[in-house]
Formats: sequence, C-alpha cells, structure tokens
Amino acid sequence: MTDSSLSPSPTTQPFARSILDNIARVLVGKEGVSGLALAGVLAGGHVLLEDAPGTGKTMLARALAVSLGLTFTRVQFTPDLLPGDVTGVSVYRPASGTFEFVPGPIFTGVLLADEINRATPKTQSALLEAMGEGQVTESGVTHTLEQPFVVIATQNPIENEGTYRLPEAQLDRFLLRLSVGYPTLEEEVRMLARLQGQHPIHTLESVAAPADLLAARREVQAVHVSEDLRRYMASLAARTRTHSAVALGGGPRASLALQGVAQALAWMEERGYVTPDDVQRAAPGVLAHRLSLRIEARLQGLPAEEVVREVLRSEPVPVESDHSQPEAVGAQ
Amino acid sequence: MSWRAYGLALLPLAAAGWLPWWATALLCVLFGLAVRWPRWEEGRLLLSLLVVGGAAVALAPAALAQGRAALVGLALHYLALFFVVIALNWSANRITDGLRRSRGALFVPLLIGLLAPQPGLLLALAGGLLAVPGRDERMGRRPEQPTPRVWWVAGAALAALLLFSVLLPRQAVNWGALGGPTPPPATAPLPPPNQTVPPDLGQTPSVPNSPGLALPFQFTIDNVFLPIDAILLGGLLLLVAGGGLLFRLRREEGRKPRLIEMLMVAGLLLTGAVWLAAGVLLSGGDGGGSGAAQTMGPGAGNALGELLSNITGRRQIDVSGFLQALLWLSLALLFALAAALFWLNFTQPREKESDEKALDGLEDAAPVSTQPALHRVRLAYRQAEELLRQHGRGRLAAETPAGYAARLTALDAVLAGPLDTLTRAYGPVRYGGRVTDEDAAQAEAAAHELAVVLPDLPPPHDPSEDSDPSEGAPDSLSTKENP
Repeated sequence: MTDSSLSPSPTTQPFARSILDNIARVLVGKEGVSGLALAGVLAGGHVLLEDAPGTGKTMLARALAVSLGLTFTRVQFTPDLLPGDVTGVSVYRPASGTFEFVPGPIFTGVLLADEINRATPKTQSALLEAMGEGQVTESGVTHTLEQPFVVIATQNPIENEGTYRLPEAQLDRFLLRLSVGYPTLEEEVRMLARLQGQHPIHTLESVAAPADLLAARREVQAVHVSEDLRRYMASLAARTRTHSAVALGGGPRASLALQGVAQALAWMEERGYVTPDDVQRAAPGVLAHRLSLRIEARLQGLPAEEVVREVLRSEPVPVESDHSQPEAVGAQ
Repeated sequence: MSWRAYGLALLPLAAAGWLPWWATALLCVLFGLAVRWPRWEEGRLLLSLLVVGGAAVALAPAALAQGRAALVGLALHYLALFFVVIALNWSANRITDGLRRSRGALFVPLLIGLLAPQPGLLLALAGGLLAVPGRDERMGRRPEQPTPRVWWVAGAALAALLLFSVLLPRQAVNWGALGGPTPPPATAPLPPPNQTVPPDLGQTPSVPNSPGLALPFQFTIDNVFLPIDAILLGGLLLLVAGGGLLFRLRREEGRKPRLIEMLMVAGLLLTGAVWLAAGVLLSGGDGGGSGAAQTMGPGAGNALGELLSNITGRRQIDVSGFLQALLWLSLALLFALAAALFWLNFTQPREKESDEKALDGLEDAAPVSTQPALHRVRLAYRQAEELLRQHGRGRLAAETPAGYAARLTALDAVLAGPLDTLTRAYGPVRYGGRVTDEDAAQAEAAAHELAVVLPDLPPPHDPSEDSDPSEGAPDSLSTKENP
C-alpha cells in the first residue's frame, strides 16, 4: 500500500463521499453522525440510533439504505408485535399438505426497527440470531439472510412508559449506538428551506450497489492496525471494566467492534492504517451502550458516554515517547 | 520508558572476561545511564573508550614492573578492547534503534563472550534480548505465526552454544601478572606445583603455562612496523583537536562544559594517548624514532609471538600481515578522528547562540540522514516532542498526535506549519503506512523549524487557567504529561 503521508488534508474516500453527500441532501448538518453510521455499516455491524422524536433518526436510516442501493423495510415495533411478524412464519398449505415458510420483513437489505424498545423482550430477542449470525431459524429450519444485511434500530430514551429496555445481549449486538442530536439554529433554518416543498427522501436515488458495499467491507478489513493500537483498544475496553462507576464493562466483542469501526473510519479517509484518532472517534459510539452503570452512577445522572470519555482521557495513547515505542522501524 | 530497555545495562557483561571487574561494572552503569538520558547515549562510545583506556592505564604499572613483553601484551590487549567496546556500542545502538533485524546485533556480544567465556555472557544476552523493542508493525503484514519448529531448533542451538561458552576449557592470559582480574576458579585450573611464574617477564611470555585448550597452531610475528612520526603526529593532532573542542565549548556556548562533555573529551584524549603508546610499543620502536619506518625489534616481536602462541597453540601461523594492517587501520582512524574534530571546531557554520541552544537536541540529526526514512521521521518527531516539552508544551499522555498538534496550534499559530508537516509524516510511520525520503526530509526540516521558533515564543498560556479551576477541569490523569 502506498501512502502519501504529506497530502494536503485528509480526504474522504469517493465511495464514502458520495454516500455522505447523498445523506446530506435529506439530513442537514449531521455529517458526523452520518459518517459514524456509515462506518458501522462498512464494518459489517448494526446501528442503534437513540434520540428524542423528530431528530431525524428514521430519515438517516432511510437515506443510508437508499444511498447504498439496499432493499429497505421498516417495522414499527409495538408491544403486540410477535417474533414471527419479524422473522416470518410457516403457513400450512392445505393443497399440498405441507408447511411453507413465508419470509418476514427481516429478509431485506436494511431493516429499520423503529422504536425497538416498544416491543416485548421476546420479539426483541428474535432479532438476536439474525443480527449475530445473519440467519433465521423457524420450525427447526435455518434460513440465511441476504447479504449485506443491516439492522438500524431507533429508540427514544425519554419515554419509559410502555417500553422494554433492551437486554444487554441485544445491546451488545449493535456495533454502534449513536445520537443524532438537535440541529443548530442555522442548520434548522437551512433544513426548513430545503424541506419546504417535497421531501427530498422521496426523490433520493442510490449512489452505490450492494456489491460495492461488500467490496468496501473487504477493503475495510484489510486496513492495517498496529500492535500498539490493538493494545490501546484492548486497554480501553479493559478500563471500562474496572471503572468505579461501571458494574459491567465492555467485553471482548467491544474491542472487536472498536477495531472494526476504527478501520472503517480510516478507510473512509483513504488511509491504509488506523490512528489513535480513529479509535477515539469510534470509542463513545462503540463502548457507551455496552456499559452497565452502577446504581449510584445512574442516580447521579452520569451518562455512559461520560464514562467512556473519562476512560479515553486516562488511557495513554501509544506515541513516540512511551517507549512501548519501539516497535521500531524497518528498512524501506 | 519501559523497564525492559534497561536490560541494555547488562550488555557489557559479555566483555567481563576481557576487563577488570570494576571496568565492567562502570560500563554497565554507563549503558544504564545511556538508556535513561539521551545525552549519555550520545556520549556512550567515548565514555566507554574512557573506561577501557582507564583500565589499560590502571594495568600499566603492573605490566611495566614485569618488563617489555608484558607491556606489549597489554598494548595488544588494549587494541582488542578498543574494538570490543566499539562493537558493543554498535550492538547497543542496533538494539535500541529497533531496526527489523535488531536481534541479530546480539551476535556481537555473543562473539565477544565466546572469545573470553564467562557466565556473565548469559546475563548479557538475556539483557540484550530484553531490551530489543517489539516487532515492527509498520512494515505491513507478516506471517502471523512463524514456524515453531525453526524457533525451537534455533533456541536449542543457542542454548547449546551458551552452555558451550560456559563450559569451554580456557587457557587464560596471566591476569595476575598484568594486575587484572583473576579467572574464575572453576575454569582456570591452577598450574602444576612444579611450575612457577618466571621472574623475568621481559624475557619470557607473560602467560602461565597452565593446561588448557591446545589448538593445533600458534601465531608468530615477524616484521611489524609503523612510522613513529606519523603516530606521534596523529596523536598530537588528536590532543590538539580535543583541547580545541573544550575551548570551543567554553567560549562559544558561554558556559562551563557539562560533566559529560568533559568526560567525553577525556575519553577522546585518553584513547589518543593510549593508542599512541600501544602503536609505539607494537611497532617495536622506542619512541625516539627518526622518522624512518621502524621495524619491530626481535625481542619484542618474539615476546609477542610467544605470548600469542602460548595462548593459542602449536602450528606456526604468521599474523604479521594482519597486525600490520590493523596498525595501519588504527593510524588511519586516528587521523580521521582528528580531522573530524578539526572540522567540527573550525569549519562548521556557527549560528546564533540562541539557535544553537534550541538546536541542542538536534545536533545529531545529520548522521541519521543515511538511515531509513521511517526511522528519520520517528527520530524527528521524538526530538520535536522533547523540545516542545522543554518549552512547556508537553503532550498529555492521552493525547493523540493530531490532537496534540491542534492544541498547540490553537495556542501558537506560528507552530501550525511545522507541526502539521511533522504530524502528517509521523502518523503513517507510527501506525502502519509508508513514508518516502522526501517526507522524512520535510519532517526533519519541520522539527528543525520548531527548534528555531520555540525559543522565541512566550511561555504557553492556557485559557482554561483564567477560569475557575474546578470548572471543566479534566481529571487528574488527563493533565499528566507524558514522561
């Protein structure tokens, strides 16, 4: 891999640039969260969007799906939603005297699980196998999902009435948890101007094909991660486990997720290697939702993101003067 | 600084069989100091030469009392020590610079230890292995798992070699006669009762006739000569140049030379002086030559030949040519060293005092231009980071290079250019990409620019200091600067 290290500024990889530009047509001023969401998809993961209603969670998911040229299905999760409503059911055909599997909405490219915390834990858990292994088992028969398969779930952190908190195992399946956030005043003004007529989501066209995404994922996996940075990422995850405010920290899957997202972020900037900045940028989204805070910390209103930031501030970055250093230099 | 790096302090133990115990201990301390402080690392070679020169001088009175042959033996021994120390320093440099095959540098102490076997060799090798930095990850992917069998075989061979080095029967030089260390009792059997050390070592070899490894050959030396005038001239030039260096330090730096600088110059001067004496002794001259080539006198030549033959065996092998070449090489080195010092003293462009102070840490940047670009960039970054730290702009431990550069740029816009260049070059090197010679040159130039700019900048002013310290203050660890 050749790299001109002294290029004028970090550039965005053309594929990623076209996706982000397309999303920006419907979501004003949210390039940061869009980039992280795209990184999550490029790393082969699923994304949980958590924010107040009306901040653009669903729009981001739809725009991402359309831009990537993936089939898109939206399921509104409600308390009466059954697992079969998502995965599919076997229907008895009297004519043939056999059961026939009718695929559910999960057989798609992008599944938008809207307000996922409104469904019962049983239905939420129906997603576990699909998200973890890319398959659905019904009546003892395993059905493989199409690839790429991405779950983008949304949930509202404010309302607790009639919701079921996602179990830890389910949360761990999401590579990233992101918050879209409110736009600034200027952004909101621009949004009003842009969305005055027909909503651009209806005219949004795909700028990539599923095969492009699969190819990009392969390239992301080849992005180099130095031994020092691997150790750094593992240390970050380990530090969440020993933090005084944390009852249950990030496991090895968190380290893997951190590496994957950092690789994707590096790839999106056309770099063949991961830097500590990639790791630090990915860490809050990757780690925060995997932490189970102690009751005292919850009562104090300490957000998990703050714990992650604290961990980032306390873990030394592998740079020159650390003298873990010298993994040294070889000949050219 | 990783504690593993201090393993390098054990490396001189490989030469414990060559040196008095106190000189070995001094070298160990010196190598340890060089790990801790870069300035001592710069002076390690000259200070090592000072130690071995001191050892030779300390042994000289005993040798002098025993006659000319003992002096010749000591001179020969010093020449060997000179190269041993250079080789040890090369090995230490090779290990610490972390080049890909840095472990290969351990063959040098292994060889040195095998030539004069003693158990300290094991510690030296262990220390060297400990100090070898981690593997290079920036050179791209390499096979994840090397063939285990190869490593097992290599490990077994190394262990066998080490065992052999410890158990090797040895025919020791008469250290007692030279005033040096006594060989370990387990491997140095006492001479037979009917054999005594000859009283006049001026006529007989300064080696005991104790039993040992009898090799089927012996060395002889015939005509070895060297122009005494040239030796004297070279030594004189070296002394003048060394003195000039001290003078320059005092006059142009406007300060008293540091202890380490004085020790380095002392090492240089002592090396010149001992080389001079050794050259005169080995060329058989009496120090009062008329300028014509001196031929080694039969007495000294025979004594040296006998000395060597008693060490190593029976068959006659004439090493006159080798020794002659060695002496000429030494003379050439002497002149080269003197010339380098003169060049340093009189022809190097002189800059403003403030610039020189700022560039203090970068004085050694020139020699590294021959090194791989990757190494040059890392060195430039390390030096720049050290300079910034010295000027109150140290990197926080949890700060990334890009974040560090952004913070400093926000404080001093003048740093933006060089920091940006340096950071962009450093990222690929440290974390896995590639870098070209051009990039390395730009990084070095950026580090140089920083060194020039920094002394003129006011002390950093952190805007957060104006506000309430308890407000938004990062946690205690976050403000800790990297050591």
